[in-house]
Amino acid sequence: MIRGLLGKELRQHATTLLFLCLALLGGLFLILHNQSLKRVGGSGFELVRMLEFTYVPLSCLMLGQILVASEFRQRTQLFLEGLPLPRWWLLAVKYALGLAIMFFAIGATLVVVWTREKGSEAMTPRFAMLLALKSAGWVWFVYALCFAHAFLGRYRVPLGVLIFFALAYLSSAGVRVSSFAPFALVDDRFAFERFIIPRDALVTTAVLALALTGLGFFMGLVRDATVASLLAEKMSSRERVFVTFMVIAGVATGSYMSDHYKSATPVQMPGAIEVQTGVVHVLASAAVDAPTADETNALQSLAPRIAGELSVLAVYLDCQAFPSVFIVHRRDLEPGEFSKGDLQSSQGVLVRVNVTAKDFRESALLAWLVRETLIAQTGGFAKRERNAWVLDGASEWWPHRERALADWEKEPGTAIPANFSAADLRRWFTVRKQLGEGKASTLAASGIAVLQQQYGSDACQRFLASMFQKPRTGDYRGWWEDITHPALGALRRATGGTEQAFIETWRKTLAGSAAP
Amino acid sequence: MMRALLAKELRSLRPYAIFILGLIFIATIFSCVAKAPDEMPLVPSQWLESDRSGAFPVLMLFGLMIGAGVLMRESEEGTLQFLDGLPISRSQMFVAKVVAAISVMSVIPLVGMASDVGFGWLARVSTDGPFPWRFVAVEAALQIVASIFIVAAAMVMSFLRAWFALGVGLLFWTYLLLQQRGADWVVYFNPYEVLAPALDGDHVTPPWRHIATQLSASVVLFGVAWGGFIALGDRTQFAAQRVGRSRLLRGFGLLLKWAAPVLWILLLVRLFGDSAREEAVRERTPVGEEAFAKWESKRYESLYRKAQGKKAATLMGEADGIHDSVAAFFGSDPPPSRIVVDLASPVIPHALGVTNWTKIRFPFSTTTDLPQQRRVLRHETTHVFIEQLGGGTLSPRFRYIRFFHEGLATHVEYLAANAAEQLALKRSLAAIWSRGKVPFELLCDDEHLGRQRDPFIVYPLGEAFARAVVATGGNDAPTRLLRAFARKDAPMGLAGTALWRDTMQAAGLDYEAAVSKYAGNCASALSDEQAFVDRLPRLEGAVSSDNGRIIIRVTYQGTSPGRLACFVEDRNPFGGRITAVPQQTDGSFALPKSEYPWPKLRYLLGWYVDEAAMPVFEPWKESPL
Repeated sequence: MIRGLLGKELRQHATTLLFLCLALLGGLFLILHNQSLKRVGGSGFELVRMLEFTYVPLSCLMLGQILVASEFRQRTQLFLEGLPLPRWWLLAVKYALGLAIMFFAIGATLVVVWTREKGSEAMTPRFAMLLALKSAGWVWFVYALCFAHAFLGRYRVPLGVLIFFALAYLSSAGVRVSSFAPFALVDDRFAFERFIIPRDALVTTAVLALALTGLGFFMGLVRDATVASLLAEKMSSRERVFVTFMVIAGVATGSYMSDHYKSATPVQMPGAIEVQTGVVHVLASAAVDAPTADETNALQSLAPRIAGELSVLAVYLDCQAFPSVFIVHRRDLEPGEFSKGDLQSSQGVLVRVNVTAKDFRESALLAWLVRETLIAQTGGFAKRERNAWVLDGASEWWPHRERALADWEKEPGTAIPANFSAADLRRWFTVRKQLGEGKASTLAASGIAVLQQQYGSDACQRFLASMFQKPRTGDYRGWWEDITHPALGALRRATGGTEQAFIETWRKTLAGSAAP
Repeated sequence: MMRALLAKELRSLRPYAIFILGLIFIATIFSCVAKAPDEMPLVPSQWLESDRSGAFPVLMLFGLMIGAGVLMRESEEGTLQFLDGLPISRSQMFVAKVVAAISVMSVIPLVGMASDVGFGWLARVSTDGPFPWRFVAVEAALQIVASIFIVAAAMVMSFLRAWFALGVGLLFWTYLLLQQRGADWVVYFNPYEVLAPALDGDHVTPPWRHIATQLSASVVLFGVAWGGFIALGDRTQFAAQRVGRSRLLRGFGLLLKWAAPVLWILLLVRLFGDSAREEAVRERTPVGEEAFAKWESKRYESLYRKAQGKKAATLMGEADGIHDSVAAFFGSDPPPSRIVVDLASPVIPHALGVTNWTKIRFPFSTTTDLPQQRRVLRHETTHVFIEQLGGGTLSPRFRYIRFFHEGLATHVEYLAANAAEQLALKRSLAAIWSRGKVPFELLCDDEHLGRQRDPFIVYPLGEAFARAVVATGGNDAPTRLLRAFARKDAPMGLAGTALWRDTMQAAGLDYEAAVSKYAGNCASALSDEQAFVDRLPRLEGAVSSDNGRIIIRVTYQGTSPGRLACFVEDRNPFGGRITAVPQQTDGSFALPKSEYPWPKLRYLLGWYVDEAAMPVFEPWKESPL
């Protein structure tokens, strides 16, 4: 009876099986004669790996389709069930036939490649055994997966697409898929590892293959195979579109999750000088060969001062949390050069600076750090054009907040342009371009100074706190909060008047303070 | 009647339209969740670099889905007979279906670009130039052209019914093979390429050749699909029944049906087999004979042609010593099995040797003398150790590690080099730094680095970094670093500087100190070798087209220190990233236009000079064609 069943399968699917054989031969011929692939691959067995990634899954899918799925879809399994054999025997014959075909195909491929590549492959019995074991493990797993998959009927394709894209996304998101069984069997080392037997990967693959085989049999036997028959019914047009949509939505969600939750590990600085003042955490370190005593002393005195200044700022803004600050001393940098390390906002702010340079100015570093920490604190929104004048002003004003208005007027660039209006505060990048960055910052800082001295320290504090107090996320939530709480609105609330009125006060105050 | 027919077709494709809209909506939501909506400016060059590869799969997916079903659905669902009963011709039905399919496909570029325009508008600042409306219009039109071509091809393939996926796969395979065989014209049929207009400042030039080719091909394909659609239904069924009545014809029909894909495969084998066979024989016998021999030492197992026996014996006699000095550098055990050295098989262009895990390929034909062979063996053996210490975890992150892989191998290679060779390497480093600093952030991302600089700079720059790691972390620092890459609890998903910072922290190394030292190494090389660098004139190129050739004229000021080199970008997936352009007698460089069928030329200009270890290239230059 078993022989009869085997004969029936071979007769029924002879053409497809012949096609699979020819496809294998064609593929082998093409791959083995493709010199570019051989150059890139580095070994004939690397080409076998290519076939294991392309031919094996496709063939297993096709075998699952013809041996299982089409039988249920066309309801011809009902005829087989009339035979005096238990149902599991029927499934076992199909399973064994497909698996034997795949084992034969991949075994023949290995023999053919070895025969052709004798000149460039150092074969040993152990290497041959490794290749055979790894190939057999991979083929068994893929076939068992396709066998179980074939019982899913109309949900086969969407599930297959989902699995494919999920693997592709995991791989592109940096997850080392190849380090897990069964992929570890056919990783980059497949064609080259001649000694180490991947025991763990082989055992895990065998367990997975057995589990999938069990799942396939379960699907084919449960409730007298009625579940498989129901699943095999054709999908309606609407269902097809809905399922495809769900698959793509699932893939997109997966990709978003992998992108969004990609973590950045906390920054460590071995041997750094560490100071914690309030919510402010400052670390300073010398990235130089054998730091001199001067360098160490400079950092030891700088770190507490910076931490203290930033702590005062954090208290002024009523911040409950503040970005960590990392100061890295580098001898190769110019005195006024502040090189920003590419940390995420959540990691803090890293600055590379030459703190022992002759013309190093601590106030410039503090201004730079105030600016960058405020940017990090707001998830980057402080940099937006609509907020940029506040950022420029606050970072320039803070280190000189004790300065009198008359002194601000003496700074180059504080003369307010004749037709300056509230619109210019919204078009701050243009103002920066016209005046230059330094003058624009001074102008903005003079505005903050006017706010403090004409409207009171409380008004100024309220205004700046409303801009920088709360940490923001760098996504739509932060954006929404930013555009619904604009800087000019905060200015109106702080001054109790319009922004144009503030600009007039600003203009008059500076003109007045400049008058003799 | 035609309007009703079109409305019916649009109704039947409505689920796809909703699907497309839903997909773009989801993509828009995800964009807002991942980034702030005002953080995505519409910059044409950036759009082509990153967003194009996102738009194309959507066009391809829906083009294939709609094209595969739009004609055959009537036949499969039995509604074709009903439609035949209406006072409309099959041709009218076909036109309605094509118009409906293209209309639904047009939703992708129109809504997709509208979303990009929306984000771009939110991200605008007052100093921005005019909004790139022309680019938006051209890109949307190009996406419609690509959609038409994909739908037309899918309609023709849809007659394969159950074999549709196989047919599409074979087409894709054929395309790759043709490209690999050097048939550069096939890119005119690539719908991905048509999405890339050439940008020159604000000017946008559509790829007219691609457009003309794909629209012409679409007309032909629509013609074939129309013929097939006309023949669908009763006429085909009657013909099939007539065939079915004759046992002979039935057998012949079955044979034809099943043999078609097989014949296709055989045709491909025939097409690519003949010339490939000749090439294979040539490459299998680079020294004129096929007999091979094997040399085994304690550490290596080398394979070579018998004619190379003497040279191989000389090199391999010294090989164990080379191995042991590399092992001593790393302070690690040798690999568990012997390292295989294949001295005859070819490697990729522009490489002297290639290493995969424990197998080294370094054909004698690429080297000139024994000292160079020793250096190459030392370099490649270092790669083996790097891979072993990395525990096979480096390859998936090769993009961020390539510079260190090559740099460390170069460092170990040059530890045994003489003073003149070391000076040549230092001069290469100085020349590279003089052409523009390469900050570590750029160095550790090979994809971004490759867009700006030539692929060879990772050797001297990587060596400078490897030296910095040793100087700041001690002699065992490279080994600790590689083991840190292989640690089991390493976080996944890190890239670029985040990956390096994390790994160096795990290895107990000072990331900032190493990065600082790297910059210092490069700057001091330039300062020491400024006189040499001053002798290398900067190069400028002017690109023109003439008689089906692309001509690159190179200009420079001063005297020539060596030989000029010109390479163009090689987009062939099987190629070696760059292709050399032959120099003409008048000093210019020229290549046939057919070999570079893209709208923008990317090329490298450089000097081959004896005093430097590697050619000195300017950063990539671009010119619209």
